[in-house]
Amino acid sequence: MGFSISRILVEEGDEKHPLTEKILARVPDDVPIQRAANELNERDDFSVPMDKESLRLIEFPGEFLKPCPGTKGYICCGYQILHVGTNCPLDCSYCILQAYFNQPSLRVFVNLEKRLGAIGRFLDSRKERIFRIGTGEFTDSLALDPVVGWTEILLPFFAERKNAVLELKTKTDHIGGLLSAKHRDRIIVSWSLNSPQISAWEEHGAPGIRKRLLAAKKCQEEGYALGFHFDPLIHHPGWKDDYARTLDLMDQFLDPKGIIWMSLGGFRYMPHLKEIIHRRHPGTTVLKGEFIRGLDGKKRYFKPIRINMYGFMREKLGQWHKDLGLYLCMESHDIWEKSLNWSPGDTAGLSRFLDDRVVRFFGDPA
Amino acid sequence: MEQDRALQSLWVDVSQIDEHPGACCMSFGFDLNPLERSIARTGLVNMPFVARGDKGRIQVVVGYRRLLALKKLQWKRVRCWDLSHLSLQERVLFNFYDNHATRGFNDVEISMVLSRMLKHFSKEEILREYMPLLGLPSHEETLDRYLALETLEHPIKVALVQKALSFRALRPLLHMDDDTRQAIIQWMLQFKFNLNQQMQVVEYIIDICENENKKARALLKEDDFGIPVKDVRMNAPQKAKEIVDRLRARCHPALTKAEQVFRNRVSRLGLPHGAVIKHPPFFEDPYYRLEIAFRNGKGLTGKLKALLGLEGLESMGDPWTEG
Repeated sequence: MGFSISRILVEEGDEKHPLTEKILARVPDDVPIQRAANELNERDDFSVPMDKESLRLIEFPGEFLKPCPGTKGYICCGYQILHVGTNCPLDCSYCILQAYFNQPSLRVFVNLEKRLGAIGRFLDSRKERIFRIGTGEFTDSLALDPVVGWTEILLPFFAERKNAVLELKTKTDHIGGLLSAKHRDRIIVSWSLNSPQISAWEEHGAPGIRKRLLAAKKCQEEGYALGFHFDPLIHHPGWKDDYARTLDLMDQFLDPKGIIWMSLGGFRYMPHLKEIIHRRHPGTTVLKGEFIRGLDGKKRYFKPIRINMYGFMREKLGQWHKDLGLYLCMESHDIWEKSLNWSPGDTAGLSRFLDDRVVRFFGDPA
Repeated sequence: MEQDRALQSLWVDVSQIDEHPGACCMSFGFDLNPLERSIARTGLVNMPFVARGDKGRIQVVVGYRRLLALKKLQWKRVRCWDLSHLSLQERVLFNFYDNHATRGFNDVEISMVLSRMLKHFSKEEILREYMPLLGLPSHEETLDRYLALETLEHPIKVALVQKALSFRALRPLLHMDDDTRQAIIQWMLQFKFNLNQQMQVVEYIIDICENENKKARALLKEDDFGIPVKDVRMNAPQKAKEIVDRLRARCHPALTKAEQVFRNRVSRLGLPHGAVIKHPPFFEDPYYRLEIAFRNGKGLTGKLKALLGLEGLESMGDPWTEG
């Protein structure tokens, strides 16, 4: 692990949850466990230290399953987010979570098991629909798995459901929970990838690309469907050769036929993230480049730069395998057409495309 | 504080009063002349408040500006209220509430208030109690910005108070090294940028330095950013705009080139009079816009026919593709 947990904070009243007990039993003896008062008011303040070494066990009062909000003016994949925790022990310089969350420490929602029943009933009541669900939006899906044991809870839950798949998105090689699980069905293990240079320079605490791909290879051998996300693509000197190196490694380790989907997304950020990145990662290179203000107010690379990057990746990936389920994350119809040579048209179209991939890999829900 | 204690007064030798605002006062960038004229005409209406310091030195608690005016008017002695019985923390609060009740604070004064308060109160207390009183959000980030402002060089503070610079535009520079910040601000003060331009200029300079691995001082010494200052054919707003345009072009080379290609292509089309084709901001939206000014249906029909007959209209596309 490129990170460590130096203390556990248990909020008042949350010690009663079985997940709390399980986590506390897994924590090494030398990690102090402290009681903490409930935090009721979120502060609208992005300057609080992130304190990535404290793991806070809390009850989450809100909705656990929520659609990805997408972003104005661009096509979204129609994903559902299973909100199991927030913040991430890795410290990628470009991470948007630095601007999303204004409360410190890693947070795990210990009432997850209690709320799964309601989520199950909701999914079962819409059997005609396919739910693509992921836990990797607000935290890394597997980084804390050795301590939290999310796979232990979630894999059996999703194996029972024919109209839902769970995507575990990670940059780590924490696959122990996956490998020891009895259930493999309807689980997609996905890795966020980048060029080796960006990985080394900007993805602090994360294993290198080779380690990630070796973990992916092992999961593939164990029967898991795989996903990959080149997001964010960073436009840096020598980017073509550098991304090609990652694609070569993929070719070396993986069978492309077992990949359900791959996404591409150019680096984008809310304008106020820039100051945070400068403050937290003074040596970063991710802010170099020609950024413009996108339709959603976020900074993005100027359009022809994005088209060029996506087009290059499409071509290279196409040479490897024609059917990788390649899609763009938060891009416009126009960019789809110009870089991938087709477009789903809108969010509903992209959802259909990805749902069809689910049916092909896991069978019809009916 | 002892609410029922009768205030004592004492005579203070005006020449002994320190011209520095000290640990309690929170005034910066004021015009002393009106107060000086007022005292000269009507005398001192309200007695200042002072306290004896450790070695018997007089510390101004409230009335710093009045005492400076008296000094200029060459008064020898002045009778002041004595607040020596208050702790330093109480004196700071006394000054704060007295000022808060009677006037607004400028940004530099807010930074003085907060930095003085921080010596006596916790950050949490300042965020909770005093930031709202100052009309500020209870954000640690905002507090940190004002604390950083207090450490800035005097000429920058003067420029802020005189509104030659905006605090908002300055924000990205607050945590930069002194040399970079001074280089950018000194250079900016040569031009009369409006608020939007100030923000754009700061952002462009930071981005160019980032992209080109350049120090701001070296960048701004380049002829490209110096020549407009000396150009007598341009007035101040024209110079400011010229500089913004040059920085933008340097910061966005591909975008600037695309805009130029687009303009050339549109001008080559020979659009009928009153018709214009515009591109979306940054070409991000896929749709271009055609605007036609016309007086009546006949005029519109004529222009539409002229448009339909234009050679090259059909092949018009994104400027980064072959046209």
